Amino acid sequence: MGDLINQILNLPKDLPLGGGGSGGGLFRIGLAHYIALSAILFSVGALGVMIRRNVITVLMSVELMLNAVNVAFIAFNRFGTGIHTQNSHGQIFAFFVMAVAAAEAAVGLAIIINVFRLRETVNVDELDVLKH
Amino acid sequence: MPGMFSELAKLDNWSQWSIAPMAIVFAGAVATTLIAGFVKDSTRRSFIGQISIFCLAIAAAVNYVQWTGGWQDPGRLVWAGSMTLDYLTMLMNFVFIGCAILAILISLNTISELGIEYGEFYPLILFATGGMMCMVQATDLLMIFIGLEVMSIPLYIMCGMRRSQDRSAESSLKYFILGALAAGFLLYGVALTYGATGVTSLHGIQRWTMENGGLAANPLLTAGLALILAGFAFKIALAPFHMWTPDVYEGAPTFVTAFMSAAVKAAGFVTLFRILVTGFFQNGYTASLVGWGEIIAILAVLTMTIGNFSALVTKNVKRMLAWSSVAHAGYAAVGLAAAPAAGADGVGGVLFYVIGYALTSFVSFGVVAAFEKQNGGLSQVEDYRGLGYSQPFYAFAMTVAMFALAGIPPTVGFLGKWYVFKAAVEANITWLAVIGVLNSLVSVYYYLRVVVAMYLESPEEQAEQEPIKSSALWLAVLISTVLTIGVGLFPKKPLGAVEKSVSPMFVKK
Repeated sequence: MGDLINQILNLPKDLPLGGGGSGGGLFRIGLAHYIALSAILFSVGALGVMIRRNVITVLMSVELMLNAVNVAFIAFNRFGTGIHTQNSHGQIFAFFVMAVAAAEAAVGLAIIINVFRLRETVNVDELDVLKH
Repeated sequence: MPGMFSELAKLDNWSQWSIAPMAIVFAGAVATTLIAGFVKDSTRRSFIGQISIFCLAIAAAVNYVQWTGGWQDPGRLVWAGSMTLDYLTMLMNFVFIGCAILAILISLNTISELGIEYGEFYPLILFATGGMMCMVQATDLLMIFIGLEVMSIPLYIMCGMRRSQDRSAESSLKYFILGALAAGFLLYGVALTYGATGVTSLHGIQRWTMENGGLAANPLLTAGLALILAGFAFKIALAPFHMWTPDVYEGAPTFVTAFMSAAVKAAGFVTLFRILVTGFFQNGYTASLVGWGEIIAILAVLTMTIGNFSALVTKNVKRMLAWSSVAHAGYAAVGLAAAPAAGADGVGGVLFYVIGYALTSFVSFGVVAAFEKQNGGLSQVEDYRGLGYSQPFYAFAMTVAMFALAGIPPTVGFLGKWYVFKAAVEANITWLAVIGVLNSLVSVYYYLRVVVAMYLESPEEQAEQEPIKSSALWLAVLISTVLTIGVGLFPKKPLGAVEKSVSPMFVKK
């Protein structure tokens, strides 16, 4: 599976894969696995934002998307080839994403509480005064 | 830690001087936050607004010194390559500071009617302004992202400042959810770009792309660019990512709507073209199968058409202006679509267009704020009947704004459309210019409907209208109206500034 994903992503076959160990193929955890995990997390998060109706769940889905980004950054920084290994931009970026996610969550929860006080619901389908 | 300090000590004076206007705005934001905590008497809160205007004026003065030659080496990278101070940054600093001052002027007279006399409004608008300045000054995707969030988070709060009102609360919730979603897309795009190239600086990305055979050679980088585009399309309301715009613009307090449609849109467009031109523009390379120019051309057609036809059927004036704001993002995107072939002309057209649109939207939303103040929430087109005689000044300003939005000379709106469509013709995408002109023709109908209502129709009951008394609001509308006509009549200097700002981006190194 790792090789397949490497092919799709057009990455070189001889990426320095982590995990060491003598296992091969599927169980040799490397960049491809992390990126697959990150893509799955991001898709779950994006779908959650679009189809879930409860605003709190939507907020959680947004957090999932941001954390998928962090996984991708750290994995690229750790396993990437070339210039990735010479800098730590990916790890630093992940710190900033965490800080911003915290600020967003704080403001978002405050907004949700305000809406709940006014309407006594956090269901996005029932929040539609602006459509009328 | 000693390592960090020795790195900081190496920063020369130029680096520190380069972010002076932004630093002053942020310092003002922190200072007004503290002051707001100590002003208990709600009738004296406009004092905080005056301090904010003072801070912005100082920042503008420093920026003026840098523009006229205090900064000897425009375009040089500073702060370890994550920032630059070129003429584009300095020009946009003027625009953002001007927008913030106009928004504060409008708010000074209307904020108490809306029941939001919180001192926090002024620090928030300063933080948002500083975030925009950071965003256009940055040449690294990390700094761009931070600037974007420092701009967006105060805006989520400002939209919901009328806490006790359903519409305002809902507007801020919608803006927050879609803004956070957009930030997620943008970040994933940055992560993939980092994965492909190993750097986050725009110049580094360009160097990598040119050495490694263009975008098409790397699906990871192409996917990254697509996600970054989607993230910014949300922020500047390009279809199909525009759904939030009418709801958010209608529900937010009017001076916040004016600030969003003027400054946020300008900041989004300028940052987007800095990313595309500096990071993903391949001088002389045609390796990419589908360039970003074609994608933006399609988005522009969708945006113009959806915006204009939705505005046609909208009766509520503020919502109509929100749809028109979507349409105008589409016109500006025409210039962006022309940028790969027309170069500085295309990007210069976008820049001139968004600045002109910022002026016009302060006129139109300023007048809407004035009429709302007078009649407590008058909003349908029918409510504007007869205002041409009872409120001559504001009705005249609204007429100028409608002419400018429709693109009728001698206003700045006409010139803006002229330059973006000319760039499209130069870039051999004449069909896009034709669609743009047809769309402008459609838009004339709903803009002139407001003018006709104000001058040619009489209201059902002849209520005696007092003249609107509010000096700051009057001043804001006057300034933006004079500039809307003035820049349209005497465009030479502004065009020179725009040209000076964008032409260095296209110099082949």
